[in-house]
Amino acid sequence: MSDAENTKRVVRDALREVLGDAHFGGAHVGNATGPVGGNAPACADDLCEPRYAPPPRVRDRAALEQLRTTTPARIAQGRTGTRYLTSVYVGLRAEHAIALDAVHSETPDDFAAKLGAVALRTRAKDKEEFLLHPDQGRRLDDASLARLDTEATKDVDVQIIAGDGLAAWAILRQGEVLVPALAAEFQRVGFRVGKPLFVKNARIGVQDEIGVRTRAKSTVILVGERPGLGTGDSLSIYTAYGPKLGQDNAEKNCISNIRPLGLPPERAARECAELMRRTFAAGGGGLKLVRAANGAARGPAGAKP
Amino acid sequence: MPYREDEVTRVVEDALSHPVAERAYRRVCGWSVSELREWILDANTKGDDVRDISPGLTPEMGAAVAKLMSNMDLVMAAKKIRVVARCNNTIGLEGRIASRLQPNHPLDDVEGVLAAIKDGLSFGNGDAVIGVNPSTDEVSKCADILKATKDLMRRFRVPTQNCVLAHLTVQMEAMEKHDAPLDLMFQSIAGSEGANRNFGVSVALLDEAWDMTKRLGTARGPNVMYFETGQGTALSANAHHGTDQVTMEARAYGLARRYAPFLLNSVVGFIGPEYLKDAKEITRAGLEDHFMGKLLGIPMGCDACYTNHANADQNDQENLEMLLAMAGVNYLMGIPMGDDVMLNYQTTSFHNNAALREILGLRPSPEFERWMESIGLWRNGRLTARAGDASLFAVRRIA
Repeated sequence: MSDAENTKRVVRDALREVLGDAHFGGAHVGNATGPVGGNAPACADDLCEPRYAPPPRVRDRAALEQLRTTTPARIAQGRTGTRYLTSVYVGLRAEHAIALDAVHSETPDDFAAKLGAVALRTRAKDKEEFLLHPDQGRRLDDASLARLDTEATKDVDVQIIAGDGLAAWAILRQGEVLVPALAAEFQRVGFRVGKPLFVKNARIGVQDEIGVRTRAKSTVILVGERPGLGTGDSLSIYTAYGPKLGQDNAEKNCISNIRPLGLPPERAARECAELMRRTFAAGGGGLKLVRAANGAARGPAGAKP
Repeated sequence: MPYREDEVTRVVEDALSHPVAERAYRRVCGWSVSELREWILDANTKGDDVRDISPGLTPEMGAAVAKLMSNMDLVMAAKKIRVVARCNNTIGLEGRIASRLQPNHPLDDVEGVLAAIKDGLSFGNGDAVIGVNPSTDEVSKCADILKATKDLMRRFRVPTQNCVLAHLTVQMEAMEKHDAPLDLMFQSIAGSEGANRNFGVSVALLDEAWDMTKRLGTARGPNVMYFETGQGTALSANAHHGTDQVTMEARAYGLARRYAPFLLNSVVGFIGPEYLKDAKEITRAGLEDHFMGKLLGIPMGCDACYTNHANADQNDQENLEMLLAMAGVNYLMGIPMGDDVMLNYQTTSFHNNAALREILGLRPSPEFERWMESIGLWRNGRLTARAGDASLFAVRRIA
């Protein structure tokens, strides 16, 4: 077992111990208002008294439990003074470690073959360059451009591209289901699709260069999302119609949260095919499509900059 | 950035011709940046003295002096500059620190949003604003959240402001067509015309939104605008004209001055490692932004945060928030356990905001403090045993 795998196993075991199997991988951590060190084993030193602190006062425990069911946010986690309970604190650290592992996860060399895809890579030569220089992840390296010219299907309606994005785990765990499902759904709607492509160290924008170079009418790219705490298997699909270099995100659409506990891959494939059908009908995607659907003028999203 | 080509430059330079700004400018126009730095740090220079020259400073000068300061200089200089703002309550006063309660939900579920608000209020969070980032740009959803948050504020008589951080056109439509009660109008802004275009806004649109909020908004005011900024936004939009990210950030504050905002916070660790590589750079940028904002007369808060693809962790985040609290930051974010389950990043938590008050002897905004005392959450300058229990608000009203 490699060091990395060993570390991962230790962290996961610790997490399972802290959170319990029922909560493992879920959003809730810790127990809401449980006693501090409540089930601590008897002290090794018989003269030392184990500390059983009383749980913090809760006015209405049932009401608190009810509030917790309404949100995946980590509410009602108790406190000691103004600080976190130990179990909650340790759980957060472990979940951060999992998110970091997801960011640094890699696809094995034979992964493109497993997808039946042409293997390509961007100009980012490793993970660090990929993270620090996003532009490098938006362009293919010279060898990949040559391979694209010789091996990729040209002039298709929809070119399917799989990539690692900010968490390779996502495509590793779902790519082999999602890529063929997408191809089947596109063909069912009547689109011509080419041989799928797989791009290592890929940012969303690499679909622009691929679309232009293969003269595809549109492209869809699957990339791992930036992981939240304790996650790292969530995929997004970005759709782009009428490829051009540096196409604005406002002209693209996104289907996000594709993962076993979110939007299942099969359903995502159906939704994506329907989205592309509407995009072709409207002659464009992004805000244009949103406006067509709402009949109202909208600005781009105004969340965190 | 030429006056003719960039409307942010025009906003900044036109404001300098105001008599107050002109007088201030004449006092400092012969100084070197080094002299400005030493004058600000001089023990005989009081916060009010700095506020007096502030209207005469360009954002470029604010950025220049920040670059000549060490982290401790930035804390020391910012600490003496108080920028007080008033809406339904007052923030920025000496000895106090507020928080934005950020009760985001991945599906904008109103009950889920309200549950997180109750949890946050029970820790004494939310005096800067109850501000929700929506997951979609639907006008009706924006209106629903504004109504639900206002209803909760009225039921429990919480002296604060509500806000939904949608694009400003969405908020305007929610106010106009859905009668949504809106206290603060939000928008992300940046330091150049092109970067603002990327956000879908212009000075004309911001003017219109400000005017509408003063007419149709539910807040007492006079400060009714809320902006978010961040180093790197103009660069990522390729609208920085070769200018560095610190200067571009200061220019966003120059634009914000026009609207006398109640809140402005840099979202310092959100942009990612391509602009702020690691915890060291995020920490530095957070202190720079806070100082530059205060120097330019902005009531600065900070979203002291990090994403999981940056080389930073919870300890780094806590270090920055402690430094900012020492520097007298007006407010920080408050999120359940610091984990935003909608935007997938980590920032300051309900617990941490309460802890900062305890560590540094800081208090909530005065109106909010009186409210906390009235419902038994706060006594003798600290949280009571009741705190941290959201079920306190699981009733129709508190007697």
